[in-house]
Amino acid sequence: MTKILKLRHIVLIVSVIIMAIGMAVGTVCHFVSNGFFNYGDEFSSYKSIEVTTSAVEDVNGNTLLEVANEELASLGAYEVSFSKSTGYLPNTVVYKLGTSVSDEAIDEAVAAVKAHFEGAGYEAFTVSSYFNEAKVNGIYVLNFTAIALSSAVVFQAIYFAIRFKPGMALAGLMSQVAAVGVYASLLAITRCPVGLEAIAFAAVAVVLNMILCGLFFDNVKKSYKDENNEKAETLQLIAAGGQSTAKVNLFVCIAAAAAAVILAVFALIAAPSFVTLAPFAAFLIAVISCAFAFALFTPSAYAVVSVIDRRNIK
Amino acid sequence: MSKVRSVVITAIVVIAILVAAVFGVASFNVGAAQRYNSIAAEIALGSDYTGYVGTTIYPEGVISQSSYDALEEEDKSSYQAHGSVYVSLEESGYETLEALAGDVAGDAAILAARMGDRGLSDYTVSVRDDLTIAVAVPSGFSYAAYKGDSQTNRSNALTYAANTLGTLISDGELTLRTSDASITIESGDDDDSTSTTYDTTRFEDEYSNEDVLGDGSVTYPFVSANEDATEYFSSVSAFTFGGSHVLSFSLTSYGRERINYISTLAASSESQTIYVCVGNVRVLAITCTSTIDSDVMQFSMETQSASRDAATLLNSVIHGGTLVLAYNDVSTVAPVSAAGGENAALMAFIACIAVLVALCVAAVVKYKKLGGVLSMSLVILALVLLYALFILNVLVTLEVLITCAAVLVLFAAANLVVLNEVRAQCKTGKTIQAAIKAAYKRTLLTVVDIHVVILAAAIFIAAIAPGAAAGCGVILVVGAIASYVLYWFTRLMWHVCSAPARNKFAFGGFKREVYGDD
Repeated sequence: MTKILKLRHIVLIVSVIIMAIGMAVGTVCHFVSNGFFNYGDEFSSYKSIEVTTSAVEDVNGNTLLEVANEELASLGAYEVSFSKSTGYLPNTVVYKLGTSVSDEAIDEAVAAVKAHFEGAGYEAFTVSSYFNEAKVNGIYVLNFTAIALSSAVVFQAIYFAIRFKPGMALAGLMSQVAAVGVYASLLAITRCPVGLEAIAFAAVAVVLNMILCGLFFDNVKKSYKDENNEKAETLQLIAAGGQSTAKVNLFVCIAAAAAAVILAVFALIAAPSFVTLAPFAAFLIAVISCAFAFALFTPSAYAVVSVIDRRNIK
Repeated sequence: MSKVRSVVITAIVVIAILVAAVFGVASFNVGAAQRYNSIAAEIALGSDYTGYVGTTIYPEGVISQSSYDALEEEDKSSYQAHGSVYVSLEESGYETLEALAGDVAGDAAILAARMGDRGLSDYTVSVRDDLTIAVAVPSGFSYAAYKGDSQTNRSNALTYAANTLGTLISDGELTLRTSDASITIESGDDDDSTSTTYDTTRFEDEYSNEDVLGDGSVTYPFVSANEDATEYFSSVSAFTFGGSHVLSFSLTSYGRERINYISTLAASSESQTIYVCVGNVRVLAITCTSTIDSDVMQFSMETQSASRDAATLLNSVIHGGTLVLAYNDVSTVAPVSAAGGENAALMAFIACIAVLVALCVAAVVKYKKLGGVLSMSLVILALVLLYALFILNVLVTLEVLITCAAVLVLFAAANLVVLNEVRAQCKTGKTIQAAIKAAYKRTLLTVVDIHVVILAAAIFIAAIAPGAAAGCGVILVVGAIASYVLYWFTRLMWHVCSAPARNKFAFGGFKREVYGDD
């Protein structure tokens, strides 16, 4: 930990570099690809083809799935969902396609599906293609969650300033900014699909980081108060604080990541597709960001601003 | 504490946990015809696990392919194809498609805000082909309903979801209506009130001939043509208290005056009823037997879902969120199966059990008997979260499940802080009982810090954030409180379990040499 603190400026610079790379990758992708992040349905438009067959003509929807797979698979759908007929509702399969798929290709595929069913003598079937704009609630959820998180972070800063020291409050605030910044940057760099759950995971990451910061500062404050440490260097005290909380903090991150992996494995069993893994990948990135923030950034940031607190103590 | 008492207390706690766990997770048949569905099977699941209930709404002048096919040839001429729909600018009253599409987009934003304010943990509002809006809310099925083990629950969930959709997408203005054509009203406008008396039949508005009451009868506005009923109310809220679901209106001073007047008229009329409507949707029927003269009006509604739907819609309309366009009524709402697969809910449940077991095993392996006590608390915390999800009706999504896992991990971490301290205290030569006491004393502030920070952050998230994040906030609030209570419960159980320990100098596999003075 002492070594890390000696390289504190480098840690801070690396954090900034990660965020800068994220910004750069995001900006480039914004112009040449599908946006700053690899947005999911909530934040980006998509095209879709919806095919239905009645339960009378296609009891389990097997024909529907076969035909759709045969005629639509070549379009490169990023998500396929199927609803089996329930009573009066038909079997329905929806192919979600990126906006880059040409209208001509979609029209051709739609015509092929129609011809297939007409040729087979089906009467009660529909084939429709849609252009779906981004779900309107995406930005709404993002805005209000951002407000909620900002409020929570401000509360944390005030609480830390009262309970611990002003420098710790400042470092805590910087740490939360770094956690969210690194999280967003890693999402942009890895092109992990970003849906609404990514916003909720940002909230979970910030709360985790708040708690871990609290543990760390608590230990540092205790070491400040310890009479045996009167002559110790500030860096040593911070390092000792970081060292004593490392085990708990590491446990939290590893356990959270392990829990996500367990959930992901079982989710994959239920629906084996790449789309299934996307939210878990986002959560793992949130945990990594959180781990980076508390293990490296928070001690380094506090080492830089601790002069405020030490001055007060002296 | 004597060994017997220790065993008895431990046994009672374990039995209580087992009973709670059995009712929490085990479903079984009761007799030949009835079935007990566990708490876990009755929790409302989000769209990740049971899919959506959705519909597509078309503004006036925009029709689907099937509606277009059903038109007469001469009627088809005014329509032009636009994506998968057909549009008649003449019917829509717009000059350009862009203007129509702009208003559709604006209405979609209003609908999204309504869905968010309704507190739905998951919903979608999406514009399709520029001119239609696809709206979907989670079906809200429990696992039992999803699997067909509870047809009542399934039917109720579908009805609630359909009603929520139907209410929230209501277009049109807020009106207070009566079915009595004979009532005469005075305008609330100061300039006119002294000079003119109006007959409500003169104010037949665009909704008068709509079947607002569902029996084909005509209704008339209680509000004169130069008044806006939204000015009567400052806000509308919904709450549940003592099993009653209440819709509460806060009135403005002007609104109080006008409601006083209108309720006097209604009380003396034949029907004695004021219908609160948005467009042609009747949101509430107020029976007036006497004059209403209060700053707040509260009415009981049948279900929590209905009261919250009504409050959200009325608040939206009162605060300028009236839809610009008129849309077709929701005739069919279609359930769409879960994207996570048919067995997604079952797999998620097994995964949660696996996470809990992993934490418990890790605790026991690392800290032996005291780890066992921690495991007991972890199981209790998991059960508290399970019952809280059911009682608070939190829609379970992946985010909520991960938050539950995070709460368990944080509880384990809080105890890990104590366990580390106990170990450190043991190493100084204290007995296990003395070490536990000292460790709790030394770590108290740290643990309080953890819980205060979680609780405060959770309250902010639950109160402000919409959607699944709000659900996460609620679970964090419950988790923070339960975790703190269980922290002390763990302390109690440590006291109970460690009292009869034969070797009071052993902790977590670590044994120190017993000194003579011990």
